[in-house]
Formats: sequence, structure tokens, C-alpha cells
Amino acid sequence: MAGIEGAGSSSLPAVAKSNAFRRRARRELGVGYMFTLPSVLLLFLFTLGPALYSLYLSFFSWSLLNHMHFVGWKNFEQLFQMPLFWISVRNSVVFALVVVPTQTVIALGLAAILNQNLPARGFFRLAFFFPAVSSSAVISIIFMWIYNKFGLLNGFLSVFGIVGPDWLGNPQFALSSIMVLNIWTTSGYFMIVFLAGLQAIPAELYEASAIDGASRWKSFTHITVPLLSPSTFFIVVMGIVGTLQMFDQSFIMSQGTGGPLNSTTTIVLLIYQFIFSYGQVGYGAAATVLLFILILLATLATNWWFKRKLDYL
Amino acid sequence: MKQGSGFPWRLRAVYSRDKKWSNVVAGGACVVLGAALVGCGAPAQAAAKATHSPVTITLGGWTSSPVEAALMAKELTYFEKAYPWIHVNYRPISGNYEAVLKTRFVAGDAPDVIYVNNGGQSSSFMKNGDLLPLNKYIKASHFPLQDFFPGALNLFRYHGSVYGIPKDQSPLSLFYNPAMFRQAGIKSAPATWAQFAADAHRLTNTKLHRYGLINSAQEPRWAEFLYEAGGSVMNPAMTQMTLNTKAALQGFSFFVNLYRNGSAALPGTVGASWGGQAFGMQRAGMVLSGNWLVPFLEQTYPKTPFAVVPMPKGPKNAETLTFPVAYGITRDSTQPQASWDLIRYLTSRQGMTKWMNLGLALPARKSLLALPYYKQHPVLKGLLTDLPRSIPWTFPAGFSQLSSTTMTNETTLAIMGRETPAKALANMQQGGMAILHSGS
Repeated sequence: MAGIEGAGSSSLPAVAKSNAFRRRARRELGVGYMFTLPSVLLLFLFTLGPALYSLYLSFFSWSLLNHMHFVGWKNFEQLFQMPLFWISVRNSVVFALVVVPTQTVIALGLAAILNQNLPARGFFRLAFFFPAVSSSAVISIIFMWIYNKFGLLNGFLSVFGIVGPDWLGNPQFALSSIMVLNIWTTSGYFMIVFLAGLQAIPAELYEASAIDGASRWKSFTHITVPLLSPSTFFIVVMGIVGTLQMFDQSFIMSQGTGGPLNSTTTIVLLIYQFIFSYGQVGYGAAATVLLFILILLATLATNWWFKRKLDYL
Repeated sequence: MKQGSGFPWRLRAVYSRDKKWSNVVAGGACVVLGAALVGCGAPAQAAAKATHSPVTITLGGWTSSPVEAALMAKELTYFEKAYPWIHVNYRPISGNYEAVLKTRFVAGDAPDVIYVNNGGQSSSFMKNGDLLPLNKYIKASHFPLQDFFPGALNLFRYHGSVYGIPKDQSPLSLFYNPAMFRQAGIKSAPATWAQFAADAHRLTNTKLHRYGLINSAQEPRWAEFLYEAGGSVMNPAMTQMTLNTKAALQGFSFFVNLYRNGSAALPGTVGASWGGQAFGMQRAGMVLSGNWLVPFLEQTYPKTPFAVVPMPKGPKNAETLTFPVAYGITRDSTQPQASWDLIRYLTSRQGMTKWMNLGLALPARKSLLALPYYKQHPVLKGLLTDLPRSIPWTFPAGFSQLSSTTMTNETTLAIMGRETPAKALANMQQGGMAILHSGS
């Protein structure tokens, strides 16, 4: 600092001015860092730090209680040979493949309907958004009652003479039941995102298309859907990240087991079991790294796909 | 916690907040207080107490209900009266007890005294040195161990050292609904496997969603059948899996066939989360359960009539499983002596008698089978009969995945008919041997 000042005083005024400007810019930069420091610290302490630590742990064998020792790539090799790991990957991927498109389409439909001038619009917006702000744990427990063998759903089905199964106790239906619950809770939130996007679309585009004689459906598919692309991109990416990381609903509804017969064991639930129940921290950490790669690839693919479409616009 | 202790209670409140820091403060205060007491011509007894500097220890465990937590807190006030210089912070852990406990171990902040469970992680805790060996303390205080059920005590022994003193246990017995038995025209509770299967069949009415037996597929609900058929899950030294014997297959098949022929069902079939709940809902004529079902039924399903009889006799033996729980001292304890004083108090004949009179579990001491409490509570007779002949249930370290997930899954597959009982047992055998060979 002193060196710069010395140089400034002995140079031309123009240089001195630029130096003063640079000094100010630097000071501002420092102040900026000061302001962000709390957030950056929190980010390092609770997000980046643990992420790096789990990368480190993925090369070690550790049961939480014994001494950890380095095993190289062995955790990954073991995971790749483990049928249970592939079951969890299949469950998570199937879950994402079903839930993300479904919830996106439902959210778009709801948003389009609730963007019209309907009576009691506010009430419906609130009703659909409500699950998003409710506790996931509480909703899971309520749905456990609904899905019970003698629960609300089977009571409803029995009106039509259908004897419903024990939804969460049957390996064929357990994961699908959680999908329905998940779609119900998240569609409302994404509906709000779409609503915001819809309101940003200029009304004259619709007027112009109406003059050109486009039907309402045509203007929906040719104006609304393409112009909502930025919102859709956000929703799909958040949906992919959220569904691939699904844990709480499986954990609560299977009472921590991922059962029946591993049908609700998602990757994150398996990671939890490895680390906290089975004492195999290395496997859990390795699975975490693989999940990170999976989500990264899925996000990059989505990004590439939408970029192409946005360029076309 | 009251005046009788000889130390102002306010001092203790300071104490519990920060162990290390307040140790110095309270220790100093004690000397001053002790001197003051002596100086004031306090009675000899108070002076004797003042020679112990006050300590605070933490007791961690799980609770089945708020009732149990309240009873435990009461029990601890008795202890504090007998040992006025020791204050116990009772901190029950809710949720997944052993998972939480592990994180506390990692943080170096485990409670001084903990409940050590059967099975689960207790073998790992002993193997990894997370618990202190108690032999030294047992010897120094001349604490006799002969009165404890040897099997229960052995569960907490590892390489010759004792790591836990059994606090109580609960054997698995047969709970049945006498009203449903009368309705089905059954005169008495089953005493043999044949009667058991026949009664289960007669009690079943799928139209009414009623089943003879409702139990989950977890291994502590079928392993007893293996032992009754003369088989076992592991050898006594727990170095081999023994699920590949004819006797093991006979026992396992008997259990699976009850489900296959429709006279038994999994709890979810009737909308229950566990067998005891299904029994309370009067959907099951019988359920295999431990003592914990008694307070649950009394509190949650007071209208469900029930009686308890010993496990029906098998083709070879009359045996069942028991689930002892012990107190242990963790390696993080800074007050092992005070912790031992607490354990010794709670597991002494007197301490255990008090605990047994609360009716939550059965004694870990042989002499307490004759407690007057059991004469007043004849419903427990079946459980008491099963106690001396029951097998304390546990697995070696490294088995938690096999016992909690694999075994349940294999049994479920057999119950669903997607695997033969022999195939299910073979898979479990293989899984267990793989763990034993890997030496984890």
C-alpha cells in the first residue's frame, strides 16, 4: 500500500488519479468481501467444507467409532459390485423420471388455469401452494394414514368395490405412493414460479396472435410454453436436484428401513443407513460423491437441452 | 435435589451447565462450605459427606414413554438421597438411540452412563473400546455378580471383561386374546406347535380382517422357532452361522408356513405398524411380544383383553429369546467412579427391586423372580416362566445391516412365496459368513 502511494505522489496527476481510483476500487472490493464474509464463512463451514470432507472420507474405511484408514478406490469398487447400491440408484432415477415431468406439467397447467380471471382465484392459489410450505415430515405422516390398509384412500376405493392394497407395505406400490405424495407437495410451489413467469409475458403477443386467428391452444403452445422456458429450466433443474436427493419421505414412510424389500431405498437414504446405521462411512461417502456426479451430469444435460431451445428463440 | 443433601441446590444448577469450568468453581465452593459446616459445629454425618467433592454425571438412554422417563427421574432422586454428592443429569435420547449415541461418541461427548442395548451396536461399542471395562470397579466395591442371569451378563462381556451390568430384560412370550379364543371355541392357550398352528388357523377370519398371529418379519420374531426345533442362528461362540441345518429349516419353515397358509399376517395387512398394535386393535388373536406390550396395551388399548403364556413348546425344546439391557460407562466419562456408584445403586438388589415394581421390564437378577409384585400381577406369569430358559439375543459387531435389513427382507420374500424358506436361510447364511470372514 505504501509503495503505491509513494509511486502516486511522484508521478503525473493523471496517473495519480487512476491510482486513487484503483485504491478506491480495491477498498470497495475489500468492503464487499467483508459484507459477504459471514455468508462465505457459512458456505465453507456447512456446505463446501463438509462436501470436501465427504470426498476425503470416500477414500477411507471408517465406522465412526474405530480408527479410519486409507483404502483408495476400494469403497467405489465395493459399491459398484453391491446390488443394493444399484437398487437405490434405480429407485432414485425412476423417482426423478416420473416425478419431474409430472410435477412440471401439473404446475404449468395449474398456473395457466389460475392465471385466468376465475372466481376465488386467491383461494385456489393458496390451496395449491399450501403443501409447499407445510412440513414434509408432517405431510408424510398424514399420507401414511391415507395410505394405510384401512385408510382414507382405500375407504374411497371401497365405494367403487375396489379392495385396495396396503400401499406402503406392498413393494409394488410403495415407491409410486411416495411419488404421488411428492408430486402433490412440490407442484404447488412450482406453480407459483410459473405464475410469475406467465405474468411477465406481454399481453400484446396474445393480442397479435388472436388477430392472426390463432386458437387459444395454439397461442398456449406457441407463445406461453416457449416464453416460459427460463421458468421451466429453473423448475426442471430444481426438480431433478430435489428428487435425486429425496430422503425424508422415504425415511419416514418406511420407518427408516427403505422397505418393503428395499423398494423405497433412495440413494440418500442408503447413504444415511451406511453412515449412521451400518457403520460404513466410506461407502456412504463414496455414494455421496457418485450422487454428486449424477446430479451434475443431469443438470448439465438439462442446461444443454434448454440452451439449444433458448438459442432457437 | 433437596435440602437433605447437604449442598445448596443452586450450586448444582451452575454445575450442570459446563462440566469442566464449574468443576473448579463448585469444587472450591465445596471446600469453603465444608469448612463452614465443620466450623459451625455441623453434625459428623455432614462432615463425612463433605469429604466427597460434588460431581455431576449424565445418564443417557431411551424411553418407551413419558411415563418411563418420569419413573426414571423419580428413581434418580432416591439415588441422590443416598449419594448426596453426586448429581445425575438424566438426558434420555429420543429418536434413533444408537445412531445419536454414535455421533455423540464421535464428538467425544457421550453421556457418562448409558443404556447398552442387546444386539444393535453394543458389540461394536465393546469391541471399539467405547465402553469402560468394569472389572476394576466390580472388584473394588465387592459387587457380587452371581445373582444375575448368566446369559444376560454374558451379553455384555467381551474378551473376559464386563462392559455392562444388566438393568432389566424382557423375554418373548405368547400374548393372546381370551375373548377371541372363546369366540373361536378354543378352550385353552396353545402349549405345543401343533396346537399353536391349529389355534392360529381357527382364529383367522379374513373377512373380518382377523388373523391368528400378527408379527413382523424381523429375526427376533422367528429365531425362537429355530431354537425350539433344536437349531440355532449362530454357534454359541458366534463364530459360525448355523442356519444351514435341518433343524433351522424346520423352525423357520414352521414360522413362514403360518403366513403362507394365511393364519398369520404382517402388521401392515391390518393397517398396524407393529404386531403389538395389531393385537391391541383386536385384529390378531395372538402375538409374540415382550413385557413392553403390557403397559402399551393398558394405556393405548385398555379394552383389549389379554393374557400371557410361555412360548408353545417345539419339537425339541421349549425356549424363547430375551432382550437384556445394561448400564455401561462410556470412555468419554470424566467421572467413572461416580458413574459406577450410580450403576451399582441401580442394579443392586434394592435398586432393581424398585425398578421392577414399576412394572416396565423383568429382572436381570434371579432372586427377584420371587418378588411380591409378581404375585399381585399374575398377568406376567407367562413371561416369568419363560425368563430362566430364554436365550439372550445379540449379534457380533458388523452384523447390523444383516440383522436389520437382509434378514427381514429374506424372511419377507419367503412369506410372500417369492423364495423358498431354504433359499432364504441359505442367503442369510451366506451373508453372515461373508461378514465373519471379512473379520470386521
